[in-house]
Amino acid sequence: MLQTPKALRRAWVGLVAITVLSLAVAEFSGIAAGVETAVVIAAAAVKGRIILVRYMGERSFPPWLRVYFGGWLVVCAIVIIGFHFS
Amino acid sequence: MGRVPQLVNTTALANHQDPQDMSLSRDAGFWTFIAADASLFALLFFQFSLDRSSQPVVFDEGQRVLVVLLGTVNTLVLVSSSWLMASAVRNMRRDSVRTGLRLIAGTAALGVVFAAVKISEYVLALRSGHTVSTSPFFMYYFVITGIHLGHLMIGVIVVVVVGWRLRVGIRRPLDRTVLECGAVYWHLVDLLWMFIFPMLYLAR
Repeated sequence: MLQTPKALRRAWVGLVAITVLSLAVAEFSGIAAGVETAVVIAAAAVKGRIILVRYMGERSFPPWLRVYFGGWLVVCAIVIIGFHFS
Repeated sequence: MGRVPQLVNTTALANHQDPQDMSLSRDAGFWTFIAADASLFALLFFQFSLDRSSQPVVFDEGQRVLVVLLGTVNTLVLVSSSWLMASAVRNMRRDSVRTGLRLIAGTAALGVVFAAVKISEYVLALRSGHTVSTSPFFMYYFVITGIHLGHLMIGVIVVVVVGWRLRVGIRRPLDRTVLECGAVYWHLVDLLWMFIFPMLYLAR
């Protein structure tokens, strides 16, 4: 299914906004390192979800691949955050 | 100015009910490749995180050498290129070939900008004495970003070749398939960077 130009533009705005907010949290917020890591990696997973749905056309994926990438995002985020707290 | 070619092949379209919904769902080989590629990076993320947990001070010291601003610029460049690429595919599917070609050219140009920024980062790191053998952090930094950069350059080559073929009027069904597979691949490169950037530059 094709995304509308408006949907593609909104996805880009969202990706840029989350990137800038992640940078602000990491560089200027002064919060604890572990919390900062959790926030920026969770933000990465959200950005990944946006790219999958809006740009990669996840709806046209075969079912196994939708499940795979859904799990891939979660597992990558949990692994990176989890080891930071270990 | 030559005649603008039509991307959509009418014979191919006759086999589909909706030309806007011609998905790649039957290309199991391509999907397997995409999944395998993502798995490779997931393993690298796992190994990096595992090693970082045993030497956090060494990794933090290495991370402080990186220029966060350059990583941020590259993130913005890559998400912008993905927007252009998705818009290009949309225009091509709707026979707006001229606009689609411009968007493809923009995508490739942003890919080159990403590569230029990344290489400048490598030069900065090397000039300050940080090589692949300096520390575990820089070993991972050069390996992960190097493999990712290789992926991006393959994407640039695919986009340029397909764009050129469409520009000169070559419009075989294979070109459409390569363009759409190339677009998915491009977005995968973007998706991977969404984790590489915070993992290497931001997470402390």
